[in-house]
Amino acid sequence: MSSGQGSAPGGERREQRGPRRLAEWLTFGVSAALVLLLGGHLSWRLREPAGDVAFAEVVLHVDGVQAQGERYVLPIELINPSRRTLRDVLIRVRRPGPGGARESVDVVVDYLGQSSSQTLYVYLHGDPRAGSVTAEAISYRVD
Amino acid sequence: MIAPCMPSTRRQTPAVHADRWGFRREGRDLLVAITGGAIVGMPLLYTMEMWSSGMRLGPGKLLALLIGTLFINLLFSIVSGFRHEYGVISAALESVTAVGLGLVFSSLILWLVGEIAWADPAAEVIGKVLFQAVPVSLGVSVADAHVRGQRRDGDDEPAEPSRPSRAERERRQLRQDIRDVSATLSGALLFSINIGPTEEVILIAGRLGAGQLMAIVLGSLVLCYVILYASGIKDHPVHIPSLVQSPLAETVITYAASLLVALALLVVLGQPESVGSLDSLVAATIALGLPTAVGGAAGRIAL
Repeated sequence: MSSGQGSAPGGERREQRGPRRLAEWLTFGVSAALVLLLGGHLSWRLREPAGDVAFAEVVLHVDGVQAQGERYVLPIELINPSRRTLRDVLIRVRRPGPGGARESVDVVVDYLGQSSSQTLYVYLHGDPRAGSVTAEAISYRVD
Repeated sequence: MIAPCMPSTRRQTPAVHADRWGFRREGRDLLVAITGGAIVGMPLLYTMEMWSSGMRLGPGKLLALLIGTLFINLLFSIVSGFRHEYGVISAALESVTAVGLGLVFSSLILWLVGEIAWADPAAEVIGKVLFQAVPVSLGVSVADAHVRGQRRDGDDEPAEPSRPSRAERERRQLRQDIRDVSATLSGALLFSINIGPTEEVILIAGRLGAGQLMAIVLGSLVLCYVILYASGIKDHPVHIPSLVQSPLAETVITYAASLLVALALLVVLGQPESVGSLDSLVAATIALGLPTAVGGAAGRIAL
């Protein structure tokens, strides 16, 4: 075991530190445990099939709708249960209006991490609680 | 003891205490390591692309990144390290410790800026932390060469046999203070000018509550103190001892000067949202103040 003596590559003589003590071993032990845990966790995750096709689920939270002036805020939960991070996820929210008119809002989410979810808030001109609002993921990218 | 007649360092000659288990020495080494890691890693900890890159990588690439980081740190530790010692086995042990420190430091900073939280998925957190730990650990591994033993004065005045007059000492002290403030402002500006105009500052400021902003203020002050004093950087001469030149006061002054730089950057170059309201401006200044404070403190040892 090196005790820390010797010449640096540049020829500079470094100070003698004496033998490695408990504190240094303690720091090394904690660090080694962290690195091993991390390496072990990643190796374990390697065994799971990643799958080429990921998918995004969209859940409407109509119960959480709030009126703001003449508009309504609709919370939408976007869930990625897959083990791939999704990029540029396009969500389309549609609300049927009177006389066959339809209100449509598109939202793009830059990143949606693997096994994670995000809550988005969409403005609609009509009350989402009054009609059958739908939301779906239209497209996404994976690396 | 501060000698009133001669430029002297503020650091007291440490009493000889038994450091049987080496905790004091290890503490100093770790503070040097944190200083190196903070200086190298802080700008990247404020980079959105680094957050998302860590999130995107799969376990295979992350594992390769971990192994590669250990290897690069081993090479860096052979030529520098952070413990001021040399030897291949020592370097191997230091490289593991450097990566461990990088993981812990990155986790703390990412948590402070609200980029990771307890409720986040483990895969996402691990990716972000590991990706950020790479530059931080490299900073740790070069800390001995670039941090330890740096002078903060930058001016070696020859020792004089006779005591200088009071007026002369006041003149020297004024020059020293101006030099310190200039170094702080320059370092802070140099460090944060490429962070101030970015969207990350708004993102961080917008998502943090008052408690988290307070935590950033405390974290910034602690990092300032670590870089200025605790890491063993040689102190500058004190010609006229005063309360203002106590380590605590200088830490606060350095942080305050850094906050001013952050504020000025936001007003001149920042995103419009950062100056939209007083609350936004305060939050953005505190958010940008963290890397700026690291730069301000580092400026004193580098300039």
